[in-house]
Amino acid sequence: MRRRLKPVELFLAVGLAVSLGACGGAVTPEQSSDPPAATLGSEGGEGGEGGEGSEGGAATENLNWANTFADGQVVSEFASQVVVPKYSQYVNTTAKLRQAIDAFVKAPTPANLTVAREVWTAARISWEQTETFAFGPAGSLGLDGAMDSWPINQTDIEQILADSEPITPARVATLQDTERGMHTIEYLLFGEANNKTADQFSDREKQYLQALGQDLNGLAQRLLDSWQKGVDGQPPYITLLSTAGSPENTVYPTVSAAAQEVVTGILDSLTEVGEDKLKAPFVDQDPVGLESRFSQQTINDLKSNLKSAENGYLGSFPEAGAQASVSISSYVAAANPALDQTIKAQFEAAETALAAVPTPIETSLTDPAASTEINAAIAAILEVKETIQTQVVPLI
Amino acid sequence: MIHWRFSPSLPRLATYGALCLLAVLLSQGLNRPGFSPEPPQAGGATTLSLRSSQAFALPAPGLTAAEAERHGEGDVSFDAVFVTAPARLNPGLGPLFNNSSCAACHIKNGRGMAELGQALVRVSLPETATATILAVDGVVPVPGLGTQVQEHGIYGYPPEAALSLSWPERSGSYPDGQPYHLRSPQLRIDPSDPAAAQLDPSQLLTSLRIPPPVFGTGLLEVIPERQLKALADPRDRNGDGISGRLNYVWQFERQTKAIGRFGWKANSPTLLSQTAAAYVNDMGVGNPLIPDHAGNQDIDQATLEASTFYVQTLGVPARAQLDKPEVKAGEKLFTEANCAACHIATLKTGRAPVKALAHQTIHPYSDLLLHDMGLELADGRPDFDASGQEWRTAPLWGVGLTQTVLPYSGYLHDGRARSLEEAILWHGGEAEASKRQFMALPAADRAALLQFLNTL
Repeated sequence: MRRRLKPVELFLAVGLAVSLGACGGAVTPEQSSDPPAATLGSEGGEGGEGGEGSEGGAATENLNWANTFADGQVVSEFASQVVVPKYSQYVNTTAKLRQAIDAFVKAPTPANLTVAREVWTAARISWEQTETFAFGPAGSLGLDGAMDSWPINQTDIEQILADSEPITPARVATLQDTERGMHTIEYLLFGEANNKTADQFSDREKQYLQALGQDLNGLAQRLLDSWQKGVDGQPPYITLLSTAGSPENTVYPTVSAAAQEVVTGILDSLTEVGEDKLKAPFVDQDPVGLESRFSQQTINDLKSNLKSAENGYLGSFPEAGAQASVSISSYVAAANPALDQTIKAQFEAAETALAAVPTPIETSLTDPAASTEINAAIAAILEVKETIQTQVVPLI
Repeated sequence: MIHWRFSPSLPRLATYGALCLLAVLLSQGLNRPGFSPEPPQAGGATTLSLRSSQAFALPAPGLTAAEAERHGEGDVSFDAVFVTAPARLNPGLGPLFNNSSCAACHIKNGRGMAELGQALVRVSLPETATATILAVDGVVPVPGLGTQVQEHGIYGYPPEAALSLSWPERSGSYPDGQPYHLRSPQLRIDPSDPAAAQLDPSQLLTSLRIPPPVFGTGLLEVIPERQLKALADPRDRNGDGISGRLNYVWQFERQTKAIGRFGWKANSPTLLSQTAAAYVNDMGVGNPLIPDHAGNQDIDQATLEASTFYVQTLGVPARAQLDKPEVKAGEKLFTEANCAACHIATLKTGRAPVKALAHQTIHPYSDLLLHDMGLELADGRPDFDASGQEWRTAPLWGVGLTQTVLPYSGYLHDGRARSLEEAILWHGGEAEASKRQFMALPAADRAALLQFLNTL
């Protein structure tokens, strides 16, 4: 029987030959004498060797970004109506924290300690609400690390407290990131588990706190400046978003790249709260993995990250009464009003689910009676993420 | 389903022969610089279509559920901030170090900044009759400093040296009169160790290095050795003025030398070796492959492998703006200026433990080989078989996202180039002719070539 090669078979045969990279006649799957270059030690049997790329059972996939988004106003208003006002608010809260620490150091009364802690909480909430725009200068200029390193270096912090060298803002600026910033302030201000009293503060601790308050305020101001005015001779970062898609803009050469920045910021914030900050310590059943455990206020971090994602989606900053005239939300609504309604409802449901988790979460994390609420909160947060990943991404 | 039965009939053999010939022609066509199937999948099946600052930070598409989970665990290890022992979380930092987590230097997995803390300084002494090169280090270590200056210490441990950097500028102009400005680092090292402090500064060989981007390295790791050997042309037999040499460097897991693939001088052969060395040298975190000076292992094998696996299984961003005429013109100019002789567009991976990485046609724009880049760019510090003037061809995939991922970061080994244009202007040695060709282009063509690079 004579067999004719059909075009499809020809294609497959060529493909086969190319993929084998050899035409020796005998068809063996792999003729390379090279050892596998990647030595992964205790490879658990998954993956195997050879094969022709991914087939079946792939758990990761390329999200279906459209790369067609062209509404530059959405991006530029996100920067002007959400990012800059939010960072301004954050700078103000760090200034208040600095003042409250100074007041407590001057008069270390329980009332002044309470005020300092309340202001720390306000600054913390404000900062965590910036999570959606942690791209750009926050990372590049090392400010995220300097203000929010976690865990802190308790061993070194105790040694610094034990020595006699003055603790000035200049000295703090030379310390490791894990010995400055918000969590070091938290540790000194609240104790190991929100259990320090006003009479337990040493003079060294007060000196350290004052220097840290001043340091944090300066770092926050630098972050705002990097967006608003530009630092170190660089242009203000806000202009990179407002000029997205213009030929000279090498950071965001297309508007869709800038819109992807906003949407990946939202997704990243949801991952942070759903996976890293809640699910991971819950699965491990280890409260040490909760980020604000000294103040027992990790729940605020979670709520603020979720709020940050929602504000990013809506293009709004409700406390300041700021609302962009166009946003990712309005863009989605124009294409698919039902989808926009679903996402808004899912954000609300996630907030409700998170609010139902018994606090402090530092205690409830390992309480079997709270596991239903915690599981429900994780599920609700990851549901919004899933919707955005599968249905908003293909529009951006 | 097609069922193949091989029978020794002549016409059949002729058909297969023709098929093989066609296959070879086709695969060579795919290898030709400038030619790529539409749309070019930079990382083969592991390509991502995202162009935001997260573009280097996502898992490769196509991982199995178990691999995806392992990648996630590795992500946590890569981010883990180390602190002074004892501690409940991540103890083992130092006592001397450059930074306290992988991600603190490889911010969002991108190119780090030319600032101390992110950039680091490698040091060594010239080889003499009495000062011999150590097989493991590939250089002669400096007493009191070793091979890398750790400019931080945990409480009570003075740093190895105080470092300061300045950036003198110089000016030049294109043949058409357009001026440009270049800067290069001037480094000052004040060692704390008395022996090191007394060294004749002219004897101290130094090299400032910024953190390179880490995505896509899992693919580069599984390019078969024979492919790299075939690209090498150490004596320039083809007479094109471009040599291309392999570096042979220490592989810790096998305790022997192997082909170098990673690092600015290709001084690391595998990502496991690279990761273990980074833990101990950059963070002072001893590990099972390379314990610290005191013999401590601060992390276990699982953590070391998890971080390595994370890097191996990151996705590679796809090229953008393919239809733009300037971009197409720029790509053509890139090829015509012979940039693609070293920045080879297409390579192929071989077999790999992770299926998604295996047998992929990829577009890293590198040959992973060492090339003489001229005196201007030289660090004068040999590293294993690499001379003081040689550098590994830096992969260009994702280079257009450099500023998106980490604004203000620089290019080239020490971050001296503030733009891709400056990076080109620093090319010398084997790349001198290509640079001159670029410089002689009309301004619009230079802009087009840069635009092409910015879409990678």
